[in-house]
Amino acid sequence: MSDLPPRPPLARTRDADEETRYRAVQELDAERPAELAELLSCLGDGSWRVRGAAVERLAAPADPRQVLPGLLAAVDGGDSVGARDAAGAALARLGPAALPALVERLGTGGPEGRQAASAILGAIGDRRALPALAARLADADANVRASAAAALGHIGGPEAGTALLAALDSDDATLRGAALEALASLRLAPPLAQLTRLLADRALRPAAYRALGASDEPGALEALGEGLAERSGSVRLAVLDAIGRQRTRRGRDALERLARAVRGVAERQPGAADACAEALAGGEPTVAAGALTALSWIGEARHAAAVARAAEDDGLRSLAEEALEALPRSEAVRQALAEVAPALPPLARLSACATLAAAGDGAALEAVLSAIDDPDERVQEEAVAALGRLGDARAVPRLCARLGDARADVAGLAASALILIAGRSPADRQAVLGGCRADGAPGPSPAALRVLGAVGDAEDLVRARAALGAEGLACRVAAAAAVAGLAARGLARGEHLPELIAALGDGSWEVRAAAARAFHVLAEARAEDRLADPRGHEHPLCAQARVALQDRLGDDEPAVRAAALEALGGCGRPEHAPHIAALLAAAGSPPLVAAAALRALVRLGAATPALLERALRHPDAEVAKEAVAGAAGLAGAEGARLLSAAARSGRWDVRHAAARAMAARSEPELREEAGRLAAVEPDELVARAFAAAARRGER
Amino acid sequence: MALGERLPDLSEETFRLLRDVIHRHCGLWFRDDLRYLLARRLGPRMQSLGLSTYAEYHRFLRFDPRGLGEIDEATDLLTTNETYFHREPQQLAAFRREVLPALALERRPEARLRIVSAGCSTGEEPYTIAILLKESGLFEGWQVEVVGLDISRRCLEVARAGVYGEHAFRAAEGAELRRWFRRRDGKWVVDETIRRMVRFSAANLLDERALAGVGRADAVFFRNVMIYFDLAARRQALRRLHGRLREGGWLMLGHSESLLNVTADFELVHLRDDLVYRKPRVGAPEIA
Repeated sequence: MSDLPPRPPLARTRDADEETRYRAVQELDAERPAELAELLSCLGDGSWRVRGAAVERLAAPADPRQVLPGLLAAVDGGDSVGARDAAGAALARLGPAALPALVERLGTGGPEGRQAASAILGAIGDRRALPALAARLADADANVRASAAAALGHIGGPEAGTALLAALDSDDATLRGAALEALASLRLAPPLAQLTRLLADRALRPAAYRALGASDEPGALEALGEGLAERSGSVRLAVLDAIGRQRTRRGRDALERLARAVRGVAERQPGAADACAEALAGGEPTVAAGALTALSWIGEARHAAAVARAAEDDGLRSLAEEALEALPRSEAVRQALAEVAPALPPLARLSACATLAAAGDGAALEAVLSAIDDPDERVQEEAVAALGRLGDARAVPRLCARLGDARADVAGLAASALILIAGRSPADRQAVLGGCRADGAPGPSPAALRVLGAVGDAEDLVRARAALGAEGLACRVAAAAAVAGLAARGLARGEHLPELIAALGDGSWEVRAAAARAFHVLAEARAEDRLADPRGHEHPLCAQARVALQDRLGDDEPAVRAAALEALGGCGRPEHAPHIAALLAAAGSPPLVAAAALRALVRLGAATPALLERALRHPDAEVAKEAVAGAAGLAGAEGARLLSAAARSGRWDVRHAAARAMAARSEPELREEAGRLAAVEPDELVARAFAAAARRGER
Repeated sequence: MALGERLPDLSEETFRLLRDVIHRHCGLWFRDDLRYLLARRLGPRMQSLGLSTYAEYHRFLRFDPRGLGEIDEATDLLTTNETYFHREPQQLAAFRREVLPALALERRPEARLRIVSAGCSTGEEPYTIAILLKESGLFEGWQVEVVGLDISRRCLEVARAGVYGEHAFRAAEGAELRRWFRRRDGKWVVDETIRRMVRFSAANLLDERALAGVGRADAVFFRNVMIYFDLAARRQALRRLHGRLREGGWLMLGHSESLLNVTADFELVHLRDDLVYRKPRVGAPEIA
């Protein structure tokens, strides 16, 4: 061991050993002038680790003004690309502190300095830089123009979008390309007429197609579908990416025009479908989603195997199953799937077998039934769900056997599957009811109660009421829901439900909450005249029930208070409003309770503008959104004023709710305001909603 | 007969709300293009709870007293990642040929070795590592431990059971590992010799306390996990793993992953057939 004192860091930053330099840099302090100079020098070190460490040190000074001049000089005059990049990275890490100097550099530096400043401002992402960057789209230097466009694409927002859209008309082809790529990355679509012109330029075509993925214009769908006819692989991938994005944004049903165009191309060019199948192997999720969507429209047997394989991917399984289902019911498809199925991974095999079973293949149905007992839980769960979708009554005994499964997931899925099967035909319903009534001893399981509540008869109401006294907590909770479900279908016929009122006083909050939710269901059913009670008849929402519900407003458990509030709101009796308003006003009311109280008051017509205005300012967005819903139903200037206020909320989801509410109103001034907000809204989803609200007025 | 209704649509708005809830809970971040994955994984769970829309499921997560437990369930479902034995064989070959001999040399004085598989999912990776260690013959008589970490309790249950289907051996090199398994009821059960080398632990990689019980590691496998983290969370997880590694310890990422623009705390090492990372050494030997 050496007794020599360790060398100071400044003496080690030029050491031949990379590790020594790396550690020395970490010890340097950017606040000390000599060490700052050395750190700036280390930005040019040959090792990226050393450069990275220097960036870290330079990006965290107490006073950024100390490091800015050196970093700006290094961006301009660094010895190497690595040094300039590292200086840029440090400036980007400094963030807003570097903004004024970089903006100034945009206007005064040389071409390389302006280009670098643009890129760094893009990396910082501060919107205050947008005007300066937009001005650089007219820079004398082509590289600066392109760099500014890319930076605008990184920062985003309406101002960036407007500038980039204008740049699409530039004479400079490089700028047009950079602007289009930036718009595609922002998922902002130029007008279709403009995009059609840009599609004529081979170099711009991939970006133009990607931009079509964000277009709301109906004609964009045809243009996109025609894109599948492109010969270039990269262009076709861009087309599939855009189809995938349209599928994600709009859902399958809204895309019929696109489907027709895709089918048309596939008829003219058989190779287009093969290209879609090949794209499935690429690994890009949106491209694969687009390829599966296109293949589901094309529906050719020869791609059955490729589509089935895609079903192994969780993120693509629904789309793959849709595509499998869309295949023609031909012998060729049956053979292709039967051949490939044994070699597929378990979940994809299940999807293939379910498709075959749906086409009437008995052996495949047996394979799906067997998968219920697979040792892999995920295969079991998928098999249960697939049997529900198949709706084949032969699955009923196997599914009923799972209603008592110790894993609530499997039992719950089996219940969902049985409810689906029961909806197929009266005979299937009877098969399901027979299985569920025989389930469990001494009483039905919670999952069986769920099925009975959803599809049962009057005799099942007796079972469910009895189960409210069951020993098991989950049974009592499920029984409350079942009683509500059956009664809401008119099966209680004015009967008094004392067991349900008693359940409001159960020792377990879960049961009390379930009973209160049950009364809410009953109240909604009564309001819609589904209880089959003679008008004026008090049962089952009798005065006794309402008193018990009002008692629950003081329950220790917020979930019970919230459910009781909803039920009282649904009863439609204004005398409850003061109690409900008191809960809303109570200090420290949990958001769950506040949201339920607000909903109840709106339901009772007792939500005043002042109360809604206060709720709009609630720190929890879910409460604020309830206030938006209340304001939406408030006619006249007060409602419009509250929606305007909500449209300026700091929370994107509150603004989104406001935009949707504005779309449902008829006031021209609200539509005009929506248009103005659409132009400045930073969130893409919300901006679309404001634009849609504004467009409603145009129609 | 036609297949009936599938899962309900997950709107962009609800996807973002659900994503925010998960992100706040455990740092996992689902990119926009993973919306289908979220819908597919959470849909059946939502149905099994008797809820009919994702918006109802969001409210359940946010407000129901059972919501906190349900977020754990949802996280479990979202992090159950399909994997298999001997995944990314080229890197494992480099690990066997170059890293293991180096570790055998470096760690001989203590005769102790600990390898961490961070984000081990259902256990295929830690068992693969244990088999590689066993078959190398370099660590006989040593105290060897492979630690599998994952946030998903559901995955860890499968991993601890050590029972796998045929498909888990689909890689050619994976098929050769079957000699360390025995057949039972049509499945492959991991041999006790290998099972004893591996221990599993539930851990959120962003939580320092959760990693405290792991001990110093000689190598960390952190492959194909970063996709689920945003940049800040990646940096945080890597900082935690850096803290667990011995100086000179190895970090193995997935073949498509790199630390460029993420952290400079590790050095890049060019092996003959692969690139891996290493925690830089300081001169003095470290006390275990």
